[in-house]
Amino acid sequence: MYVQTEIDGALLAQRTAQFRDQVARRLSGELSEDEFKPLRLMNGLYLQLHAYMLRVAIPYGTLSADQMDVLADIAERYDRGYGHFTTRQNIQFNWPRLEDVPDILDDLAKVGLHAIQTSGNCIRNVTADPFAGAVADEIDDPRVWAEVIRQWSTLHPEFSFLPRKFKIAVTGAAHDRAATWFHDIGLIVRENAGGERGFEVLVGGGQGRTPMIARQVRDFLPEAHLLSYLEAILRVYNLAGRRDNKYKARIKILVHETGIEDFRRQVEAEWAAIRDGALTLDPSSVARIRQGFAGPDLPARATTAHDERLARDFVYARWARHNLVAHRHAEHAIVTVSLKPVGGVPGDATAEQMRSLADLARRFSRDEIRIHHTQNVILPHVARADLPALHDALDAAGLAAANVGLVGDIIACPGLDYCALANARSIPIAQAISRRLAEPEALEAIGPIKINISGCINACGHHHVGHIGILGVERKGEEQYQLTLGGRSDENPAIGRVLGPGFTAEGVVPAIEKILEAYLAHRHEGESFIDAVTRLGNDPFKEAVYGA
Amino acid sequence: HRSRTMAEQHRRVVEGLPKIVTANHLRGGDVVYLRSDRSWTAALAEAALWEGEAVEDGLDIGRTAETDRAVVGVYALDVVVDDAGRRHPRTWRERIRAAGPSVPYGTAALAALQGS
Repeated sequence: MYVQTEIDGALLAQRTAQFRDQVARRLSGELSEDEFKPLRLMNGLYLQLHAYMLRVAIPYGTLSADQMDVLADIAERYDRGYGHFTTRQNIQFNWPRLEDVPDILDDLAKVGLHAIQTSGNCIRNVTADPFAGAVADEIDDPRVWAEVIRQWSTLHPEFSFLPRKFKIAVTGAAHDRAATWFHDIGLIVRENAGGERGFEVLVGGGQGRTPMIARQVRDFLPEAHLLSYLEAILRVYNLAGRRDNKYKARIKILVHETGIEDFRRQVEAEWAAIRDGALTLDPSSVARIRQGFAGPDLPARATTAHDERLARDFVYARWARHNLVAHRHAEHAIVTVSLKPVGGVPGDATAEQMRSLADLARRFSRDEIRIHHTQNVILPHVARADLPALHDALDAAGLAAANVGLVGDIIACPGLDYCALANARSIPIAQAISRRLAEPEALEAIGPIKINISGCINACGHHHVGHIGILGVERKGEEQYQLTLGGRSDENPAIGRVLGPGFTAEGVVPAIEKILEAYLAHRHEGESFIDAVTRLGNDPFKEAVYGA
Repeated sequence: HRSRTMAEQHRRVVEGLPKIVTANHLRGGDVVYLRSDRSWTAALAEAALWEGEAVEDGLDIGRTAETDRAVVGVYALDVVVDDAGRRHPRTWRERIRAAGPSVPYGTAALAALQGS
């Protein structure tokens, strides 16, 4: 993991002291709510449906065991004993008191955590492949670059009052597990013909009320120019992005209205003026950051215990089949811990579960944890020899659901149960689907599938990129749900297509069942759900759901 | 024309509904409702009802409390009063805001899983 320096520590200490003073001045009346609101947002503090909500940054989704323990302590001491892991690799606490937030930030700062820029019109948490540094197929660890960008963007004076929020994602592998095509800037690590490493730069992707797939603004950017090029893009956006209409203020609108050719010309012109200057990356600085991500020594260990257990225990074998990903070190595995128990709240973890995960990370994963944007937790460096013991410990903690990547692994925003922006609830829909399709055999028969649920058109549940997307809306005072099919967030990006008229809450599960039955009826041997939908289009599913 | 007339009728019905003045407690964030004695309560059932021109009076009391830094984010919500005198917020949003999340959370959520 990135090793924090004295500068990082000092920055956090000063920031928490500053916010403590701002809270005091708000409570004393020196600051009005209009003056305080942008300040609290830039420290991740919202006023939500029931209470304040604090969004804590988990930079590129990487946490240490000690940091997870502190999150558990905060959940217990200042909140209601749980937290929610989000679709941008962060954690949210739903019930903090404003007067306690300075103390919460102090506790977070002690382990290098914070809530800086997790809201507001600024550059947000830079997300990355949650399997970074462990997975076999990556060209480079994207977290090195995510950390470089984090340092550049934190408290950047020129970019603290952007037209709107700004989200950056980085992938280090050709298989895109960071949804780069749906971010304001997406960075794909590439090697050019000469073997030089750099980035394909994408711009203008996003979801929300106007989903758009990003455009390529540069096919190859040498590593050394990463920050100067990003600076050029942000400057063009900061100057030209709309500020008259909140719903037209993201960079995707600017790119769309300007056209990518003209937008690229503006960026390249700005870049020409600032490249090769102070923002050129110094290789020794990058090397220092990279050192922190070198990863643990992983000695060879016999995998006998795992192999033997696989052969005799079909429940364990099912868990291994769905919850493990190949590690670059053959005798290790990347373990996904599902936070989607049948009928559970997607992405929620109690303080006790967080402590269990911290303990298991210490015992089995070299102290390291990742948060996946699908709202699950990753233990990235587990020796296969330790998998049986890990599985049993997860099972004892209620964390061994063998449903990763299957129908039960639903991604859902908090929805109207928590969020002031929402129009409909999303959690009960996720729970109903999960309960209805709980049988492991049914899950396996359907195979890999992503169901995403958003409680409003802001799309925090990423429904546009769900293989099945569910959008909650309000119609005549009642909750209604629209279904989309065919969304993809990987290297073959696609926006889901609306299937037809919406459903009441009671109608969603039967509709999903009909979609899945149609898939099973029409699929070719071994064909996944998304491949079948891509091949067939919506028509057979529309017919199945709505009739001829 | 017919849908415009129905929309207009709906608008008038909604405008004619009694209101409750609500906000969030500034320090704690809790949802609160304005009582007739100008104090705030977490219980919707104890809130004062405001109708017609008096709604603005209720909002003024709320805004004063906002200036005094007791609460933040004052507004009025529509309620429907049933035959037994019970108040029901007109919208789903306000019903959930009054009652709390419609699903158990934290350890209660885990307990619910074990019970099911």
